[in-house]
Amino acid sequence: MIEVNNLGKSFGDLVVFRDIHLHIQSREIVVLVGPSGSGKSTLLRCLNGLEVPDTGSIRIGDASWDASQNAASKKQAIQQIRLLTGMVFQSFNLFPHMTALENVTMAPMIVKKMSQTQAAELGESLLAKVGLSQKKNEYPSRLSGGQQQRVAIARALAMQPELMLFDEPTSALDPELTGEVLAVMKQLAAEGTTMVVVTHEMKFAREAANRVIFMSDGKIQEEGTPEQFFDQTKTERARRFLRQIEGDAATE
Amino acid sequence: MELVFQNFEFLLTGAYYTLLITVVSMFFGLIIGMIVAIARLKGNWLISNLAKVYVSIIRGTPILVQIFIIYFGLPDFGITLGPLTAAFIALSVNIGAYLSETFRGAILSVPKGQTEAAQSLGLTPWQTMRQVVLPQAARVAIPPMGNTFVGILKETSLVSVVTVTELLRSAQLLIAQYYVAMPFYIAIAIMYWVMSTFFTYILGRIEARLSKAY
Ligand SMILES: Nc1ncnc2c1ncn2[C@@H]1O[C@H](COP(=O)(O)OP(=O)(O)O)[C@@H](O)[C@H]1O
Ligand SMILES: [Mg+2]
Repeated sequence: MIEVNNLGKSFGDLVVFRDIHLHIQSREIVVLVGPSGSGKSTLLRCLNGLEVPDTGSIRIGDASWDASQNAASKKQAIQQIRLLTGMVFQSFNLFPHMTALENVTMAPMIVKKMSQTQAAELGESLLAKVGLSQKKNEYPSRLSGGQQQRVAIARALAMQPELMLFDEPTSALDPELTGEVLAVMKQLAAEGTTMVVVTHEMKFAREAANRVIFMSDGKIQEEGTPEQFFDQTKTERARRFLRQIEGDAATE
Repeated sequence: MELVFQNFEFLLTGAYYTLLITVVSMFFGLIIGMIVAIARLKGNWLISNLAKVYVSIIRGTPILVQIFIIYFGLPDFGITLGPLTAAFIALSVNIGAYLSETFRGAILSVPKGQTEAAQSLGLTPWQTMRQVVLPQAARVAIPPMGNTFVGILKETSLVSVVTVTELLRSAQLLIAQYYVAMPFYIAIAIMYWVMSTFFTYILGRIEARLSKAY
């Protein structure tokens, strides 16, 4: 359902990654891990049309982007891709001038021209799903980090994307607030939402992922089921990464 | 004092013109400022540099010279304007340049993550501007805009030199008629002060409203 081939991206002289191949099935939960600076965010941003790759192709549902297309088709493809993917950012990026409910209903009303009543109904059901019904009229500044991130998840879901992308959704949160966000993500996973998640939460990867992908030095170094990746790690690079993560977790 | 009350209606007419010039110039100045700010931020090389030159010229020359060029200079090119029209144009063009800087700064103050979040939801660049960037920029821009507004209320007195009978010139005409200066000047000073204070108050209310989310 999602097919990424030969994808490459550089910033000036810096090659972030090249030759990335990634096929994701519908309802699959892919967890993307790797050291900082290995290009995980950039890859996710390419899948959401926020970053334009230099080479390769991306196909998501009916939308396909190809580096060889002309500028107009590329632009159209990127717009389609953005409609088919939802993004959850590390720093939430909620709209501070809108209430929780308005954050969720704005895009359906503006982009899909949904009526206010319909959008409000959808928004309220999504806020209920992330456990924030009673906060619908609060502004983001009045919400905790965990609550803000849950609103951000509801906001992305409101566009009914085929693929949800999460870029370190819990990294900006105090440890005691990560649980509520991970619980919502697990619930989405259980409902069959197709997801690509960049995270350092190895417990989440073990429990929720169908596949773990390890990225480093601009390449996918290894991938497999959580059991394969954590218990029979193939590359030395990944073993070193896992030792490091465990070390960090132990010192916390 | 007696004379002031006798001629109060005449002074009020002057105050009306002062207000009219302020509001009209502010209105067109806002539109010009918005267009120029977006031209500078989103325009191609040529457009953005043209906007930059415009801002630089207006900010680098006295407003009185700008008024003279439009009222006394343009007739040389066959464009003759009435004093009031010349005042509207000169002040709008002047305010536009200053406000474009205010707006540009305000738009740049909105974090990049906001634009990205809007784009990731499928909003077009224009929808992103309208729904996400401008409302947040407005909050940042309101206080300096208020200063510009009150500043222009006072600078309208400059257009008295091109025979627009606004508040200052009303007083000057009365002084020429009665040969007493002080009461009239005091009277218009009070009227300017009342108007400035009133607008400052209104802008404070708007600011408070826009800040309620923060
Ligand atoms: N907009 C950008 N301009 C220049 N370099 C960038 C930009 N975004 C990311 N990079 C660089 O690309 C590399 C990969 O970054 P990123 O995708 O954020 O990695 P990760 O998310 O795995 O930590 C880093 O070296 C980073 O500095
Ligand atoms: Mg990152």
